[in-house]
Amino acid sequence: MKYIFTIAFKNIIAQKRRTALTFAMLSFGISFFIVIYGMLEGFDISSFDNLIKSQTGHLKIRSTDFDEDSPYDLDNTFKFSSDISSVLESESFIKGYAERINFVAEIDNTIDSSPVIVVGIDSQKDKSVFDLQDKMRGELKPESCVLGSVLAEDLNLAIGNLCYITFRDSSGMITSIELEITGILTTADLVINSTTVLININDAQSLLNTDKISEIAILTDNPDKVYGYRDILSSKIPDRQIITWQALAEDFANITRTKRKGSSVILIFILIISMVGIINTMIMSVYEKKTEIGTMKALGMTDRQVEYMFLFEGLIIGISGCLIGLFLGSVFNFYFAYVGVDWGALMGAEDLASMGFSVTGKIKSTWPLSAYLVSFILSMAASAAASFYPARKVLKMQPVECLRTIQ
Amino acid sequence: MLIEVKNLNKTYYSGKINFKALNDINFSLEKGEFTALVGPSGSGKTTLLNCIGCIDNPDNGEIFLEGENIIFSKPDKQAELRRENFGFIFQTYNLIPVLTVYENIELPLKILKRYNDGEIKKMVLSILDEVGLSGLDKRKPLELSGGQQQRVSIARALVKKPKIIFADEPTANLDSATGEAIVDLMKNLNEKDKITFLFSTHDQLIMKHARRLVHIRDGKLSESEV
Repeated sequence: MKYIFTIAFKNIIAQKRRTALTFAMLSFGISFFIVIYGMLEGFDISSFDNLIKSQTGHLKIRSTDFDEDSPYDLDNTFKFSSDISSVLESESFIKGYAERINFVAEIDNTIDSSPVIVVGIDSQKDKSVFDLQDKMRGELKPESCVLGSVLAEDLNLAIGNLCYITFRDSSGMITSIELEITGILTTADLVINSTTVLININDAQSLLNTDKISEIAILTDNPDKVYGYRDILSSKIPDRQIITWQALAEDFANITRTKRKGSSVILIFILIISMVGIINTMIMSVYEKKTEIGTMKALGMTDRQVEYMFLFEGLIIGISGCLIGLFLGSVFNFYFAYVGVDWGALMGAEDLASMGFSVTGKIKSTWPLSAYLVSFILSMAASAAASFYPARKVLKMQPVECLRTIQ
Repeated sequence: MLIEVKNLNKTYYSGKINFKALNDINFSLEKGEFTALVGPSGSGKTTLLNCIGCIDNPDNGEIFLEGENIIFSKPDKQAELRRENFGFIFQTYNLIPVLTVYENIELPLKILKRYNDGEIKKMVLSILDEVGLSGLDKRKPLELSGGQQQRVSIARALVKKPKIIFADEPTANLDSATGEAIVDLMKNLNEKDKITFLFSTHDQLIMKHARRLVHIRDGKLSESEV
């Protein structure tokens, strides 16, 4: 078997230019696959991270009869009792919590108006769960508001301007107030930027004429343990609903999964196209070596031994090209994974958001083990298939038929 | 008797045209013979050589090697027969271009799996010396002249000491001086080692040296002793 392997290896070495081209195609395909796959995973992880830090926290406490169809209805509110507060203060896994009240309103600048979601927050406590205030120009002050950047732009409003917010309070009375804009919020989330108005929670409760809240967001010490933490909190606060960030982000996760499937199909197609190189090389190799095959068969090699020779040839190309591709992919990915790229600055955060990626700042790629595995398996399978099919075709011939090509 | 051929027929089909290459051939070959199948192009000499050498299948008839019928249907059995008993010399040498002279000659021994590396080395160097190619073992076939390549081809056929060597037009691509040297070499090997040679040729030089000429025309045989 060693001499068959030697011949296969020498055949590859003999065709330097063709082998180099095949290696290049395969290596490029695999490295591209790994880098892009790692990048997309990085985008997803960053998007989920942003979602947690701007909207969901790790856990949320809501009213038991929370209406998912009308999430901003004041009927969903509940009282933040001292019992809940003492549980949240006593659990060591809770790193921070912040109560919020959300309601639907209409904002206008006396010329144009737009429907918005007003979120009442406690500036100090909100920082312990969310990072919205890090992404804020200006600050939230009492009896003032902070607007999402897109909303402010649409209504031509800036810090220092006045805006008018109209809403129904808890008794159904329509109320309109004038607030000064003291901050502009620019997050990775297009929805927040275009529909959110932040006000002080005390102001919100006073305006709504209620002492209730819509939800309590919680940040834990470990996002992977939230299911266990949820059960602990559920047992201690039985009259409230405890929801994990995974449940809150279910729609987003579904979109991400669908998006990932689409990208994977495209990437696998790129990988397959690069593997056509091996198939082409092997077909050429087999037909060029028809006479050699005839000679080897005349010398007494069995069909299986000749077949092994081509199989080895294909596998050497496949394994080497794959390993080079994996190496190059890892080298490129090293930069993207450890240094990262601020894609928002390069492409525009809003453009990225419109593509479904809620990301800001430097995005770091992952080390996508599944992409490594898929690349390896696909290149092995393609190499084996590429060698097997043409070799089979030639091996069906009598030795004399192979020799006849030049005689 | 080394080879006995009985009622061998072979027809080639090309569209609506049928060409009968071998027409009820009966032929025998004794051990140690130096025999040439001669005839014009298309007479069927190469087809007969290929059928006896089991690299082509006849339509019907029988071929016996030392009394054993060697018309097998299974390719692996045919491969085993060629591996164990036959050597081939081709008109175009058919050396493996990526292998060195040494590796080309050791190939039949590697396929045979009967000898260890030390024995193989001894056998290859000895046969290289015998065919006058000592010192060229590391060269690639394309670095050799036509005559040298044919010598490598002879060494490759000879190294495993086959029962018979089939040589299809071995001098056709060589100039007359080189051709003569090659024929001399094969004749010496035949006389010294009692290797049986069966040629297909229309080279007068081989015909001159052959001890037996078997004429073939339109797929039929006639014979003359030299």
